[in-house]
Amino acid sequence: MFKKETKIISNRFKEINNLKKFGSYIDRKVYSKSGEFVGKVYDLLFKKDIFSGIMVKGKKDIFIGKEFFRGESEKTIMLKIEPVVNLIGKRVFDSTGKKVGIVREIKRKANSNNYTDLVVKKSIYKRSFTVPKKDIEVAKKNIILKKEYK
Amino acid sequence: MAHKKTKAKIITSDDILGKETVDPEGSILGVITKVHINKKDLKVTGITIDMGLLKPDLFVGAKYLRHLGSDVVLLKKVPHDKYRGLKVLTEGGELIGKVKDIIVDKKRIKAFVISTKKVWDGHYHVAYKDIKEIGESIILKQGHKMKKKKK
Repeated sequence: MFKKETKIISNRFKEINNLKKFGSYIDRKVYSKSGEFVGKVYDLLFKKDIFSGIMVKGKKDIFIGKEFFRGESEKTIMLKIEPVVNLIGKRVFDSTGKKVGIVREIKRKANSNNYTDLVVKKSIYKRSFTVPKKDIEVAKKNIILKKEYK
Repeated sequence: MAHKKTKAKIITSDDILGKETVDPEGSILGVITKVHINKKDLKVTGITIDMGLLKPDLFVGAKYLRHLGSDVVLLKKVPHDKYRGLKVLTEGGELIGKVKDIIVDKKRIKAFVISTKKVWDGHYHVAYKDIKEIGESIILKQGHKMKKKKK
């Protein structure tokens, strides 16, 4: 009902109402470019004084750099990208509709959002194998390959 | 030999019924519950997909079937009905509402009917050109226009 007045101790700022509260980022929902739910923000990372990105808890723990933010609202953050780590656990089908396996691992160039190969495994008794990016037709909700896999 | 060749091409209804259907975007739409056959020429005309409890069944014509696979059935096109119930977000991530209906003109999507978060607010039309991305949710372009649907 009564908002407590905040006393300001700063040489740089006389007003703090137009500054962004970092606490408001915690628990915000994060969505990918296509609107897929990635997870919730649970921490913020800084390098020296500069905000560098967010830690997101979803299927996997991901750090997303602030350069990949597209927009934000009170409760959500939208990304410019489809985080490649989201592909882990997705099903892989070949061009004839045969299930090839499930994505277990992603081979990437350093920490970029581009992948070169997917490591796919059909079952625990079978060996995993790699599928190069050029053989992939669609990698969205699930993965469909361009050709038949035997 | 000839008998073997034809046998490899022919499948039974058991091979199709109960299989999952996958659209070109890789989404699993549901499970096939019916195979429709033309009484006159005995050709398959399409399939019915059970899309879950909350969504009505979907009929897909035979010409939209890409491959009757051993594990799933692949479709050639994304059915418009898939978008029903998707969340609608602004580019900034603000939730606007959900897709209530789809307005199609000559097999192309013209607009989406959106029901907003507030039930009493009614429904709105958003033109297809105002949509930036369709995926797991529908993302609107910046400066999009929403027209209130007339009763």
